[in-house]
Amino acid sequence: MSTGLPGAGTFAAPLVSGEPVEVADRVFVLPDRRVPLVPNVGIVLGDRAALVIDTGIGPRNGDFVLRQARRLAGQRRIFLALTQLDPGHGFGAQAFKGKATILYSAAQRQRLRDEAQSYVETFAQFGSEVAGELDGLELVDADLVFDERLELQLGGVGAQLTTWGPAHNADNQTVLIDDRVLFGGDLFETRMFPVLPYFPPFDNHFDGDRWIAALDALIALDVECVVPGHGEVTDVAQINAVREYLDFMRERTRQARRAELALAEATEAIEEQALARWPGWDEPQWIQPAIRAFYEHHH
Amino acid sequence: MNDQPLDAMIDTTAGPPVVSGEPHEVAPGVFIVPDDRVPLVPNVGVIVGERAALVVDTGLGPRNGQRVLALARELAGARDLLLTTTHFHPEHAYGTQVFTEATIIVNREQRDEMRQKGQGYLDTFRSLGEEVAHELENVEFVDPQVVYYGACELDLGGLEVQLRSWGPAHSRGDQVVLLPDQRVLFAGDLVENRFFPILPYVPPYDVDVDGDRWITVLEELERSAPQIVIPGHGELGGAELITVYREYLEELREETRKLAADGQDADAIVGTLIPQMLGRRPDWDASEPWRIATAVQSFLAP
Repeated sequence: MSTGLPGAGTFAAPLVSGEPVEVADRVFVLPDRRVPLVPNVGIVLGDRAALVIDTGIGPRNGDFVLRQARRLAGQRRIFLALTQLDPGHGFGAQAFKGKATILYSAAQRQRLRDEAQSYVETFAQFGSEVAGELDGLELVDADLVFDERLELQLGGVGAQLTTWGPAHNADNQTVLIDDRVLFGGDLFETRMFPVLPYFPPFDNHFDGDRWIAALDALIALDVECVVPGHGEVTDVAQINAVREYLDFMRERTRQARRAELALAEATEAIEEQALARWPGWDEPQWIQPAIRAFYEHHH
Repeated sequence: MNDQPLDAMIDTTAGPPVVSGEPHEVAPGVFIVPDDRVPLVPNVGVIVGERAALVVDTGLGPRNGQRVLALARELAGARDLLLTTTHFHPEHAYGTQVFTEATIIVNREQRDEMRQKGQGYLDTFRSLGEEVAHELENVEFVDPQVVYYGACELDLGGLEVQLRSWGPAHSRGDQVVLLPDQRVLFAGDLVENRFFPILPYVPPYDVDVDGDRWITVLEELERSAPQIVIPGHGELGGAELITVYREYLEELREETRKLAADGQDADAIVGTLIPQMLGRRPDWDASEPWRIATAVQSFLAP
């Protein structure tokens, strides 16, 4: 299938690497170094158990993350949670099977069943570096599937897993550590246009209003430390910035609809405005899908 | 009836409250340790998959917990252990502290209810007699590691288990454990076999019981058509155990409201219904008429 996905064939090796950085008490991050398809991976260390958040793409990244987690956790039990079940964030889960307790939301399990196999085929076309990481991939089920919310007590530190989808995608999930650290997944990134793979019929579980409402709720948590899906660890100001961008997209596409502009005309005008307004943001290839997503959702 | 001496509330003549039944397999991988109809002993479950095993209920206090843990370890070998409890009441959950090697998982209401009422129930149950107090020595309350909201599913390795919240009914945090493929239901005290149900309406300490909702929940559980129902207490059976319990609760509710509509006060209604209900179910263990009295009061509550 021809995906039309931006950036296809241009990806560098999507490898989770480096050393875990303690970004807050008991909370570690393997930073993404702004490498596409590499997420910020979290490791939260309690007295009794540890929680890993996201795996990177494919079995080798998963294995690397598990080894880093095991180094920190020693003999403690390890839980694995995903911010979404897409290739970059969740396709390393197989390394954890039988060695950790894998937790999916019901929406993530649904995405696994309905869509995961089609992602394999699509992502395998993104160049040999990406295809190589998908080599030997197995899609694995969770040990525990929860509806919308789950709390973990790791010993001296707690985690709350909350689902928000459909928002940016069907299965968005955040992980809140003790009301002080928020792992947001791709609900927001740092200094890059939000990753929005909206390519109907492929991956079209987008709901802009719910996405903005989710960001409002997350902003209200007023945490000290914010870990985005991609980009540097930051604070609440970055969530506000992404909210402003989404609101801009929603309003401009609404105006374009009212002015009876076709999608192509609207895209040309709005993209230029967005580039001018957020000149320091990377990954501009995600602007057009965002325009299309909002435009098509105004009826 | 609330001024009745507490030591009259539990009949322990049938034996000390000690989990001592022999585990047996009721479906592939599904074991129960039967209560042998001993008061304050629950039916304990151990569900063994390829990778992990789930224990359902602990027995009364840490010594019973140790017995259950040892039995579970014997059945589970080196598998990962998980523990869940059907509700927070002492004979179901007060052995939790010894399961340090297990992942403890309950629903949110049960976690909160234990935090709120755990100590009060401990104090009350310790006054129920020497043997009960003995089993409740050195109880410590521990928070679960995993708390779910509403429902969750566990894959024990080739064996799917559903945990589902149904409270408030018998308690606020009622949970059942369902194996959808084997159609086995661990009902907790939402269903007992030939024991009168407990509707623990004891204001101001505990008013969370909801008899109306309990009836609705039993209708739902009947619709799930389990083949094997493991009640909180008493012998296992089929779906008819649920129906029998629902019909009893409906009958008690109807009689209570009819007498109230005739202008009878609570004491008079209790006085009428205890002999009536006992008479209609002569084969139910009925040494504790307060079970009917508190049920009447809960149905009369605003």
